[in-house]
Amino acid sequence: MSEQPMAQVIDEAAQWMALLHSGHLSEEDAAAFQRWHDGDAMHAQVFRRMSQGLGEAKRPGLQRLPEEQVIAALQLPSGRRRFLRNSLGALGGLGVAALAAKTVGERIWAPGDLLTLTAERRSFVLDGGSRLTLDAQTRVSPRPPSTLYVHQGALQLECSGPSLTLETALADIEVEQGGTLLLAQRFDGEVRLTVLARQSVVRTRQGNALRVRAGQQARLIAGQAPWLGRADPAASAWLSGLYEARESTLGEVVEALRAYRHGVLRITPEAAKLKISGLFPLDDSARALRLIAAALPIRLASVGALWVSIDLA
Amino acid sequence: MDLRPSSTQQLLGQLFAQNYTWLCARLRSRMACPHSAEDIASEAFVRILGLPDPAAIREPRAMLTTIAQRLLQESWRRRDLERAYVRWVRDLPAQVQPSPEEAHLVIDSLLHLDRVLDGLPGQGKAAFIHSQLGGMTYSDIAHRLGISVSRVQQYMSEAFRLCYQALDT
Repeated sequence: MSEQPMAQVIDEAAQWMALLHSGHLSEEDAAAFQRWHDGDAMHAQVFRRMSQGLGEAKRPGLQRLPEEQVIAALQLPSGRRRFLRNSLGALGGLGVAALAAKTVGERIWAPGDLLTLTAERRSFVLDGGSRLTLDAQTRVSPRPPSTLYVHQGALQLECSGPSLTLETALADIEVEQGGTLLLAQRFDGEVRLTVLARQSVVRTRQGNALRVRAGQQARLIAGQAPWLGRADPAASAWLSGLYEARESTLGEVVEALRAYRHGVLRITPEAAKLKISGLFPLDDSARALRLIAAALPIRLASVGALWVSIDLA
Repeated sequence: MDLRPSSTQQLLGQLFAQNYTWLCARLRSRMACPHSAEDIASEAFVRILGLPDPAAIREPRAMLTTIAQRLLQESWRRRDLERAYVRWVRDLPAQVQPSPEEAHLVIDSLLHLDRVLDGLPGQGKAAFIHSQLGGMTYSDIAHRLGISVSRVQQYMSEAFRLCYQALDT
């Protein structure tokens, strides 16, 4: 239809959008907008995209904050950011969540967090004498007196003092004195719990209560009923620096290795579906990758140690 | 340039090999934590990978520096917002304390909005929030902020333009 430059269409759409949200829209205005909108497919398309961008900007959660607080936050000065303001208009946006998860060591939320970085395992002795061992890239916030909130990662808790509660996004898990359990939350919306000693009561956010006894494993997936079965002997392998795959998907193995590798590790969705069994050294992930490549019809493209991509051969 | 995916892949790999250590060293001098420097450097390469035509990059080091700086800036900004948020919620009664996952959701949302509206003056941001989160009319907003209605309208159309652009990145 028209040969209007894009920038002009965007400006017009923005002006119409501003008028529509003014709270003082007359019938003539509304009719004029309709004519503009329907008059050119490009107008309609730009307007739809703008609405979409607006929807994205108004994410859930913001509505629950007082307006004045949101304004105060956005008006916070930041000297360091002004210094680079004009350097990169076209980039940024996506992938920030991933970054936030990776730069866990740089986070300040809750100064008392217990955390491990890439390729690091650590044990902590809690007040009361219980021992908490964190797998790589794990973050836990202690909430006195007796709750530990698990943000992400995998851990072992040996409860030798008073009983504790592990809280996750999906469930609260009670650990009694003398109890030992393993918990893994590597993906959003999925928690695996293996009880090694005593028993634990799991209370899901849906209100289900589940008793998991020593030697049992519970798998919680958001929106599904909890699954209870025999403990997977492989669940504790990371404590000795190994990943044990039993008919696992390559995607799961790679996900476990990721917590142990600096640099970039990519896998195509097709390769991620392959099944594999075996014992892989987490602390020598390069060797683990070589073992995988020897066992499966895949191609490893790597440059140095820090850039590896995995695809079907 | 007509590069098949495999050669793009190769080129990126080469880029990575030639520049990763260099970028890490540069970042390390500006950050307290060396692991984070490596992670930010890695993320910078991932962003390069997401560009429509990575093969067309002529000055890879300049590009990587710019992207890494942007990432650093985002992590600093996130910290600013987190600090502010922590201050607010600290004063709330225990029953309405947000859970950690709520807090993360809110901070992510704030960070996104902050990025979208970057470049708009403070009053423009306030106008946008009052209109879009508070549902106020422009004349109420004008009254509240002590500016004219047409100024509010200008701010709003600028904000909507930024919402459109935010999808392009």
